Amino acid sequence: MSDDSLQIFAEEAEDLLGVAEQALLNLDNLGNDAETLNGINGLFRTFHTIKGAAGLFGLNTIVDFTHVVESVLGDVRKGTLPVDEELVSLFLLSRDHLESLVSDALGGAGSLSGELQATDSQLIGKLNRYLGILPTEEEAPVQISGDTAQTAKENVDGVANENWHISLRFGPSAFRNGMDPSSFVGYLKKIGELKSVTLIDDAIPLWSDFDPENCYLGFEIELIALNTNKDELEDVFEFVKDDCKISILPPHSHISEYIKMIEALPEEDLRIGDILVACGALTSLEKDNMLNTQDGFCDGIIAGGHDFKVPQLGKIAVEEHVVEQEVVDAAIKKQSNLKQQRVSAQQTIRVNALKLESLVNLVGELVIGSANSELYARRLADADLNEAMENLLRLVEEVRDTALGLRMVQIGETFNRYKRVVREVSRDTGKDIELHISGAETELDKTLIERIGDPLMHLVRNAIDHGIESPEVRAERGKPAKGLVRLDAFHDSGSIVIQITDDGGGLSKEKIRNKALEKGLVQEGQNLSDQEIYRLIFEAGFSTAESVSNLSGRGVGMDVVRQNIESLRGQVEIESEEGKGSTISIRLPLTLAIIDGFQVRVGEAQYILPLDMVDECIELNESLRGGDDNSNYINLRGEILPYMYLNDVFKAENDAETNAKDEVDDRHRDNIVVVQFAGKKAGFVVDELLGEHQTVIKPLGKIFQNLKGISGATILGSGEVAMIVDIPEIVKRVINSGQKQFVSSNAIH
Amino acid sequence: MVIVMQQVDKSNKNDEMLSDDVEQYLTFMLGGKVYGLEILNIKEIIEYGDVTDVPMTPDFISGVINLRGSVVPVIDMSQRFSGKPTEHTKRTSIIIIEVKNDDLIIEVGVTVDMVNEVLDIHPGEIEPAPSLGSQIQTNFIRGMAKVEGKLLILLNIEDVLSVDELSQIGSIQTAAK
Amino acid sequence: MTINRLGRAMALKKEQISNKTQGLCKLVIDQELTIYTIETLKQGLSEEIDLYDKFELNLASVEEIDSAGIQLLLALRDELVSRKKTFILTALSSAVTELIDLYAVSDRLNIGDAA
Repeated sequence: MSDDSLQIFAEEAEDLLGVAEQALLNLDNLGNDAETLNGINGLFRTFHTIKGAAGLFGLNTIVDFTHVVESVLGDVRKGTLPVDEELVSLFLLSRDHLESLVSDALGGAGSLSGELQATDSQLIGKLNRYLGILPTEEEAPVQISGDTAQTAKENVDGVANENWHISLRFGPSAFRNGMDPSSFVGYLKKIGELKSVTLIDDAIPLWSDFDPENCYLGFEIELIALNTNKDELEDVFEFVKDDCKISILPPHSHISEYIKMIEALPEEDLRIGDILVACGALTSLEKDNMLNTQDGFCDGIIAGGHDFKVPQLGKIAVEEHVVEQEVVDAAIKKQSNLKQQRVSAQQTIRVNALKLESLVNLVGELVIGSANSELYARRLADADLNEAMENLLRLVEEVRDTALGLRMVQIGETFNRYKRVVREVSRDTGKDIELHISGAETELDKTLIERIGDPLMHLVRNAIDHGIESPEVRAERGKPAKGLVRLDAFHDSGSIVIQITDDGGGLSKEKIRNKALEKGLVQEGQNLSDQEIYRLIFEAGFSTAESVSNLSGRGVGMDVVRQNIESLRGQVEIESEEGKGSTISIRLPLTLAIIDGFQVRVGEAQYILPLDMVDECIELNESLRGGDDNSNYINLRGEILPYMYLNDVFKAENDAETNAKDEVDDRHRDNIVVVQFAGKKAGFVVDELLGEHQTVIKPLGKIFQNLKGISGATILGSGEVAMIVDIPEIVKRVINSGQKQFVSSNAIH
Repeated sequence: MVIVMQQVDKSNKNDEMLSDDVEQYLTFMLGGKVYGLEILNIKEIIEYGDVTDVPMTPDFISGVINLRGSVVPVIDMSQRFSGKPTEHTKRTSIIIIEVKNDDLIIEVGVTVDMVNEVLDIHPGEIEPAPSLGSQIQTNFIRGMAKVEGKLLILLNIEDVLSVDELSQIGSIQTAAK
Repeated sequence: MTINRLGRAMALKKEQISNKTQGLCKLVIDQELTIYTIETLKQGLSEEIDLYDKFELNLASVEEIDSAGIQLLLALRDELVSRKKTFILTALSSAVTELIDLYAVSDRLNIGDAA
């Protein structure tokens, strides 16, 4: 098979394994039997699908391994094997191993590495023990599949054939899509014994019209398989269902099912009838009866003037009193569920991330180009042109939002990964911990999600390892034995906020300070705010854990976490109360590519402020300033707002004052842009407000990587470059400088 | 922005019957002296203009320009060498140079007073840089060459435009004050 | 999936013994008989079928065969039978035997000894 199809297999397997992981983790929490059974059924099906698909690719190691897992799951499903935590862990390990096997297969290695091989045999050994201890002879007491129930019922009226009958007609593109019917037929041998295979080549056209890359083949197969069900067989063909017409008839199927199948097949009814007799699916008597019934049935419909043409299988069965109504209902419901699943699967398309990236880049250029056109259109002052331009701009904006939206994914999947971590870490540390997730549907840019995964993982581990206390300590403190870790995500003024909260011991300011003194990170007597103390844990080489556990506490990590977040133009903040717990909040920009900006002019330079962070713009007049020219505060509707001249912010502190004095005369018509970030407000004074601007963020490049206060650049309609102001950083500076002034003016009084 | 010289014609090389190891240098004026840069690293030469200042950066960073949609930093060579800013005239140009940094190729512009010509220089004509008496950092100089009686300073572009060094600017700025 | 037709040499060889007067054409397929080579093979065969009346196809060196390969053999058989020409598969490699057995088509493909 081609690498492409193998890649698709690997991707699908990965998805399925993800589903399996969630299902396994859920098993832990399910109290009620029905839900557990449901979960087990789902798992069984998932592993089975992987096995089926792997079989098609001849990945025998995966098939063999999955088969053992499936057998154990089968026992659980039958109710002969209870599920406990140990078993769930074994399944989780098996799942992990499968993941390695899949990636190994993708790597194209012919045989397993020693390590994989060892894990393989070890896990198979463990799984087999579950199979060995328990009696396997017993037949399943509970019949889950509606099909099987139906089969049992139909034994009375069904055909004599005690084998499964499988009818396949491959579509023309099957070969081109990398499917080889022989893999499917060959795979059936793993499920049962092939009693007969009849190749149908009726569809092969004349040599002159024959396209040898088209597939014209069909098969009628008799399969002897006692321990299988229709689902299992359908799963075999899961990968080819779009390229193949498939009918699977259980042993002793009712004659009506054969009628239905024959009607669906392209060949002549009589010809098929003969084939079916030849391959042993039907006796000649049955065939004759059937063809008669079929005619009669159709006549009946035509004569009776029924308004349906194709009789539904269920209808026939019920009419002939073969199956009870509820069985049919169940089967129909199941089918429609399956159908829905298929529909939703069709609604998503896998797209190469690079293609998406180049689309977003192109949209960026489109935005810049349209801004340029708009500029010239305005100069011409032609009403029609301007109107057309406005329409165009609106469309460009929509295109932009849609293109960016393509990259937006929900954070839930990332959050779910941590369930596993919490489970494992709590086991390793002997802590009982519950993970609460909210805001899983919050969307953010895929690049961000990918790059925030590891820092988040670290913070979650940290919360469990350092945050949550041991059960004994919790009991002493009067807390519930079960620790709580929360993961929340939500949008807040142009950012996405991800919070990791624990109800553990909280951060000890005293301990942090002592440690920082010891490491020389702070000086004796240095006055630090709570935030400043907490932020010390993000310094390189800082670790407060008294004992170094194998999870965290090595002192590497937290500084890397901070760096990672900052490299995404994000911010991290800590709130903590000793004894009660901590919350770490990560703020990230919604996207890395294009933002709505607000354009301002300061002197000759134009700057862009992210619009989401701009609260309002007000004119700076004497009444606001309260007559005190040197004050760095204004009274904004009773609120104190620190502000600074944007120009001064960008000047080094030393020469800021001289500059400020030079320009003092022009200041009467200045505007203040009020911005807010993470609940803090500050104002910047600018010379002119230029309005909104669709801003394509251009990286400033490596040379400017250490520059703070500017988060990037953009290209204006005129072709000039403008800087994008890093509001979070600037807000911090304005507030700091305000505080300094506040302190010094207090000292004078 | 008008492009003065679309692309320095690198195929010139083969026109004359010269030995294979001849190297081509673009010469330019800076503060009255003649400098040469190996042509292989040069992408294009454009007229000086529309440079946007980047706040909070040292003086030798003139700012950034829009080079067909990319934002490219521009270094004031005169500032970097001697601490004196380039005086902008009609002839002031920006040479766009490709600099390697960890497998990445980064475009950087440098301002010069005037671009002169492309010269063929035999490696044999190049003398090592004097260890003393030079006005600029010695590691910036790759060697000296005498062409038609004039002394030419050949620059070592990897060091002049060391990205690792330039990228320290954020920290230098804060440390200096 | 794109099918790579490049870099694959002609997979069909005509043996020297082929004799126009007797109308016997001996062909050897000495590469894989799969979707990758099938188009080339069909073209090669098309050039021959008008010229001869009897065909012997030697498959001893076919190391790989897939359903497209079997399909080609079946199509060739249909064509030759309809034109009253004969067609024999002489030697089969194990890969070919295996697939012919799986599909139970040995009686549809005339397998016999070389003339």
